[in-house]
Amino acid sequence: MEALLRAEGVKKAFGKFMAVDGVDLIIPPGGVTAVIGPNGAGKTTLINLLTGRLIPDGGRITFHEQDITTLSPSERVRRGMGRSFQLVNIFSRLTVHENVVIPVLAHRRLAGDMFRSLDGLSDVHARADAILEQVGLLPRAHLLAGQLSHGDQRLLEIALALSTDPHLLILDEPTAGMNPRERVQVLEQIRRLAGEREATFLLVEHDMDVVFSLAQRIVVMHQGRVLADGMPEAIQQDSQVRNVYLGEAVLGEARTSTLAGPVSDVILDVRQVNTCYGLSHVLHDVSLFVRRGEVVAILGRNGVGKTTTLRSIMGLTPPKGGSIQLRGQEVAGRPAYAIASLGVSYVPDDTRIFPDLTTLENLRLPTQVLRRGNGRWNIEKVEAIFPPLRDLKHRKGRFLSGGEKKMLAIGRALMADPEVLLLDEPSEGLSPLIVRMLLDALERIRKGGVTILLADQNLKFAREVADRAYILEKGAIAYEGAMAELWRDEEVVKKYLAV
Amino acid sequence: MGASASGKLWLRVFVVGIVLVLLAVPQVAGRFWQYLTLNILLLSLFSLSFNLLFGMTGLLSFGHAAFYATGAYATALFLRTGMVPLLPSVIMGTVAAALLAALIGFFCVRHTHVYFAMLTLAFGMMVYAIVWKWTPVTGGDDGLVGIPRGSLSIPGLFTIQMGPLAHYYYFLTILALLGMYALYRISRSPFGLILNGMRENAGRVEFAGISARRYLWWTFTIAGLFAGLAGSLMAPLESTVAPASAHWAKSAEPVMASLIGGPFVFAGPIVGSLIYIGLKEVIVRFTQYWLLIFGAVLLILVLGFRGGVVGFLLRRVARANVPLSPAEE
Repeated sequence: MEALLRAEGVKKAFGKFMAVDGVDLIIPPGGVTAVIGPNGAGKTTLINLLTGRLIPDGGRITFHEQDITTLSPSERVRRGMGRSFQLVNIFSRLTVHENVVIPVLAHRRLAGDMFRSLDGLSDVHARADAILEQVGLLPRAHLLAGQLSHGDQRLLEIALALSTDPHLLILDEPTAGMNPRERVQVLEQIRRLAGEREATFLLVEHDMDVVFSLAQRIVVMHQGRVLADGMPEAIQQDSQVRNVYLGEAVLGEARTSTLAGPVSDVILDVRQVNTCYGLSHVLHDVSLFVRRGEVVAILGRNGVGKTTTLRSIMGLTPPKGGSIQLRGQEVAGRPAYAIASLGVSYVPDDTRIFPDLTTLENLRLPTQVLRRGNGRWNIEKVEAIFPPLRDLKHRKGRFLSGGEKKMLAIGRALMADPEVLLLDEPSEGLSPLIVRMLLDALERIRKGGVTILLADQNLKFAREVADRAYILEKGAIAYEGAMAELWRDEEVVKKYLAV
Repeated sequence: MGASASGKLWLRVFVVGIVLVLLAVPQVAGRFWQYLTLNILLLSLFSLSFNLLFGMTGLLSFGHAAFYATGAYATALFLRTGMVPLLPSVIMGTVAAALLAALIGFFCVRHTHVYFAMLTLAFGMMVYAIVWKWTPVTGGDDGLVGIPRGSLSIPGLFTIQMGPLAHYYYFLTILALLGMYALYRISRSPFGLILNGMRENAGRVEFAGISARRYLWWTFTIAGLFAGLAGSLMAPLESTVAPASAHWAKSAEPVMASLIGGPFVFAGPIVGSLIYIGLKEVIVRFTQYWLLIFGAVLLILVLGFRGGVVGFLLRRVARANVPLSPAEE
């Protein structure tokens, strides 16, 4: 078979753990191939091996029929490979425009030019603007990339990968953390590019709708090996695949609020909070409350202020005005560590797992180092909620997959024995099976007496876990109500959340 | 970064004004002011070369004096032969510094952060040890004295003796300004943006198809070249070169100047050099404990003006997006 990219017996171990254990893979030119598999199956490691971020311990990789096994990433990119990253990996303190100019310069062999003025290279700037236009970021081209919302940063991530006109574009969870509209936009983009440019796509994705609508071929990974490889229809029928990955369909009924506790039992009361980043006013008079034992979701598109709301409550981005009361005690403006010591834990969307500490060490940090926790939660209980952590006790944080980090981050937050748990995008980047597990876990955490406030893009996920919901739009509360009502209110869903 | 058109015009007028003032100094001021001005220019050029690594690329070099000293010693050695005229001596001194930077840089760019800083410090101290001990060539702890300034000439056309300070003043000022202009052009070139990119995220630069290590090596070499130019211009001015010019205390000067002025604005190190030398001159007059006062004032400047004096003012006045420090989010 003619191959654009070929991997033969590729292996990579982290310590004793075989992350990728002899993968053979042929990517012919053209078309879209999707790699799926449970969290920790070795998908991202495989991509890192193919793109040169990691060098394999064994095996051989060829690109355009030339051996590239040990070449540097930059050399592979020059030969026509491009990639985007699962975690946003951009130039935060350069403008959005400058971010894209860098790969455009590299592609045009202008990056080493010290003598010409960058301002004078109008065709480079025009090309960069055209790429930004394609992904819809042109209106924000002058902003610093770090100021973009999470979803916009993901779009920029893809724009960066497009900028070198790659023959093979490798996308690691391109739509993770995007709202439905952005997701459709990105998928359209990929479909269009796949059609018109004869570019070849290899993508890792958890969203089965995305995978089945885009890919002509699906490769299923499990425990570092290729479990199945074939046409989407065949994969869907494969019983092995169903067992390890797809699980049962993740569609239950909306929760009916079992808790209608008295308003007097409000544990967290946020009133008319206004928050700014530098000069930009992000939150406008945001008011919300959470009763003890409730699960409340903050919904809304990207960039509407969901993360900022959580950060304001946690004291990481102190509000400029308004009041935040925890059990009746005013905490607005207090530093994050003081708020944490009052029983609030925050799990950011990028998890912030300590890369050089093992799973156990990460979990022990709150109790042993910070002297938090009174024994309501211990390592056994956390492992009971997230069984996969049991086998990862001694693995360092940097070698955990995205989904494993997420579980560990929530587990670590629990070890601090919180009364209120703030979760930012808990379901982002998780395979369907793990989402199922997370839903069960959150239910058990709630039964363990923890109140949960979460921000998520994923309405389906929020529907299954939350009692009530707030919808943010442009930094203000646009809707509040019981989750079951929201789910039925197609108009609201359409207006604030959908495509 | 897009300054308005009128802002650009005013900036040009301002720069031309400063150049005119610099050229007028020997006409209106005595030796003291000429000497002070030249010292500020030399430190400015030295600091700008350092800041190519520090502010632009995010690499802290603690051994930058090695290249300054190499330029100074090499130029002094050529001039002392009496056979090589001034300009070729300065050029060869500068090239010698660049060659050494290419050699040292080859090893240093393999590491980043604190390891990079420690490697440059170690290499810097090695150069210092060589300068100190290799007496037959470097004069050991006495250094090299009696360096002639020679003359600037095109045979058959003209010869200008560089002995008088005012003559050498113009030579040094013009070359230092050309050096600074070259560094400015680099900062505004495609290469300059790549350096900023490496400061933000060297890994991602690699995935744009750019070999980060090769670019860092080039940058290190160029930074050494311009530090060497500053050293090469210093030797004939002082007519002596001492081992102190290779000491790590000398390497600390551009660090201070860049931090005072602001490492993320091109003119930051220049303003920092002006403040650094100006302060030192003033304080020395009043007290023998000048280092104590000097240290205290520097502390206030660095802590009080976050992002450097220039960065601070720009953020205040223009509300520009000038970052504070390489580590800040």
